[in-house]
Amino acid sequence: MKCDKNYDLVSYLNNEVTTGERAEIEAHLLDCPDCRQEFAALKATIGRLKSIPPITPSPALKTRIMEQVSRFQPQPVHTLWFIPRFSYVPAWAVSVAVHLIIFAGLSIIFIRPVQKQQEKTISIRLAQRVEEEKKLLDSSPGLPLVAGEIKPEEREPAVQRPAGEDDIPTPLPDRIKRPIPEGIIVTRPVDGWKVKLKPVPDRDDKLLAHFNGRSNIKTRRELLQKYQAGDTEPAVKGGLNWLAQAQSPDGAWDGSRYGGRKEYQVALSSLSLLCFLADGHNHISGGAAAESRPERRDTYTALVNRGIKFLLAQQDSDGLVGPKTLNGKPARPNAEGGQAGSPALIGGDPVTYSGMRDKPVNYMYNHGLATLCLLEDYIMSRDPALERPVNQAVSFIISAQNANGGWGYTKGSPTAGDSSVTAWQIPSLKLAQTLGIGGAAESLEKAKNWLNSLTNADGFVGYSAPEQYPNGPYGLSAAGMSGQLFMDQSSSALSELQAHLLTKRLPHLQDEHPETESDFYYTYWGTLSMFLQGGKDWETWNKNTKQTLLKSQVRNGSYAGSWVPDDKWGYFGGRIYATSMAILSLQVYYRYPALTDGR
Amino acid sequence: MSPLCSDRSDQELFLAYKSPTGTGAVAAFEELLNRYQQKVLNFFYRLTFNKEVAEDLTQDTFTRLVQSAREYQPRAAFKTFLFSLARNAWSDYRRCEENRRKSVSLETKVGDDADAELKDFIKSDGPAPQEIVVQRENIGLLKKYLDNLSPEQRITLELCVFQELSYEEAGMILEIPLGTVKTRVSAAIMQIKKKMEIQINK
Ligand SMILES: [Zn+2]
Repeated sequence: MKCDKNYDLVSYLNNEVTTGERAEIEAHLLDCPDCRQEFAALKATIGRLKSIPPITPSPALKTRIMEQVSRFQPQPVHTLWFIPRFSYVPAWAVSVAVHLIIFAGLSIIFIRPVQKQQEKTISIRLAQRVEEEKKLLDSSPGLPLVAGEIKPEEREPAVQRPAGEDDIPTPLPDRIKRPIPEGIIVTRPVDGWKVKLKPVPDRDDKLLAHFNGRSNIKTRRELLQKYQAGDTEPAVKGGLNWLAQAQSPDGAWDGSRYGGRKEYQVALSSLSLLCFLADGHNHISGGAAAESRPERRDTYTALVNRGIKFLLAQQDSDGLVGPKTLNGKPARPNAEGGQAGSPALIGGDPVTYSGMRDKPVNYMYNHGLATLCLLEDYIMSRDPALERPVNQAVSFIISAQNANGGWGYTKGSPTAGDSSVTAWQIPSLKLAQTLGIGGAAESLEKAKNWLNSLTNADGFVGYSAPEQYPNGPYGLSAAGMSGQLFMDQSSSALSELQAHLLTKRLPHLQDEHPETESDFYYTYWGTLSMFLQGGKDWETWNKNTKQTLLKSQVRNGSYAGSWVPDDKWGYFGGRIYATSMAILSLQVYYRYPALTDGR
Repeated sequence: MSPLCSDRSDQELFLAYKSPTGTGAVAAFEELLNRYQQKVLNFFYRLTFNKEVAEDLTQDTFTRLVQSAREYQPRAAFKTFLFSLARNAWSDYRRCEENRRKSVSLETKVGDDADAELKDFIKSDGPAPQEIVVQRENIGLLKKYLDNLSPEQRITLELCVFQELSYEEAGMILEIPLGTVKTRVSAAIMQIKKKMEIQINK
């Protein structure tokens, strides 16, 4: 590496830099090919490390542990004062605590002579702890007191918000045609919310009307026939199967179990849900493709219901779906730039741990995708319970838009915004506009102008400035092209030009074409935009890309039906990402209406 | 398992488990076990690359959790608490191993056969063989890179990269300053990256 800047790119990758440092590094990466290359290599290194497959516990392990648990119930009588070793307390408090520990330890040993072996372990451990507390006593006098009271912000956040009065789950009997599988909960509409959504699908609107066809097997067959794509359905089915088993009981898809990053849990859950929504399932009826997979109908309805419920539980009072920080705790102060470069971040001041703060999340990917899920589910289910969350989620997108018309990682982020995050907001805004949600049309207009300003004469779309391609021009151009086509619902001279560009870089398997880097992001956006555009270039694209996807699906073993996340962004999204992006690409024929016929 | 369980946070579950009047304590613990068993198991697996040892240490960690239930104050995040216990289990294990190795080192020589390791891996826990072909990833080699790290670097990398804890949480668990976490993670990644590059250029 020739560059002498020496940025800590590993910390940047792990999102452990201040907002100020982040902006500086990102600006530098745009300018410096050396650091970009270094960054890509580091990303690949971590990606490869994380590809070490996790092992699954043998069934006996759980039995062994539970056996021990039932033998050792927690005993209510004695209360021990535990001083966490990682908090810092004044000497006198430690000394009091040490005495209490000794007392309680003795009382266990002498008063309750049951379960001797366990108790013995405890007394040894207590003795060790007393030693440790003594050491602490010697080494750190006068450190600030950590209050014994639990401050609300120090509580570990609930994974889901507990159901408040407004969220009391009640089924809506009039909408439900068949018994709801166990565990399905539909939220009640909230009185007083001003309903702005169109109450019934507008038959005149091609985009909205198209959603009816998703659950109609005849429509699907016709479309598949039209695009000569019947051979893709078994792959879609296998993919959905794999995704279904990967859902967690709380309705989320925990990407980190499959090599993705925890901060994108909402985005990965949303991508997965979008696949089931495209298959015609919503949270109330299995409508679906139902007819083609009757055995899956109720299961997938329940799955979508759990997933939507999870997303709703992630929505905060501003409408944002997903956490602003990794664990939902307040962001660490230096993340806001206030104490940027503070010694705590660089060097060793352990005292800061007592006021532990959380890591910020780049939440606009999460939010854009979650909003799209809620909208699609609303359009398909027309459940009034979704009206408020949908309105609020859309309002958040609008409120997070930069003055220039784009979106960045977060609302009001110091960077100019980028075409990638922006592309993920546009489908939601378009659906919102079609449903009559206020402000969406204006927001789209601004986004359109900004995307235009990023596009050069060849049709390539830049990242946050024209001709700026930190990760190559093709993925961004495909995303930008989709954005324009989705907004306008009609093609243009520009999209024609772009369609031609994309055929110059067809998605291939890296095994067969070592010069290409496999990239599900490009495959997804490219397939969507080429489909919307239609014509000869689409045919070329489709023929190639379909085969590439079908060939690379895993066929055997516990991952059968999934796709290997060995692509450009696998490090962020893992297998859930790779699989859902591949499925969505194969569902393109019936997911949204093509622009070429009819209009 | 009651469906209600999954709506509760880790902390709520653990408090339910240790609550004096709590009914369903075992169910609450089981739910926690379901949530964390795999994470803890793989924490130890990537430190040892030995499934049997990893399972024993996982059991040890949850035993410690049961034993120290009373000591837990909701001041600390549950996950941080649990991984502190895991780290203690790991330290104790390493101390034991160290002593054992000292006493047997003259008799046995520990083999270091990445190929055998790989075969063993395919046989037991790995994905389908086809998957390995697709990834063309030499897992045995990756394991070697991790084995070559210092124990301190390795556990820090495990917490920050594999378990995706924040540097701050890792610092609390390991009882080291944030700056040290940062240095260790960056150095570990740089070292492995260098080794990978050498391997490619071979
Ligand atoms: Zn540079």
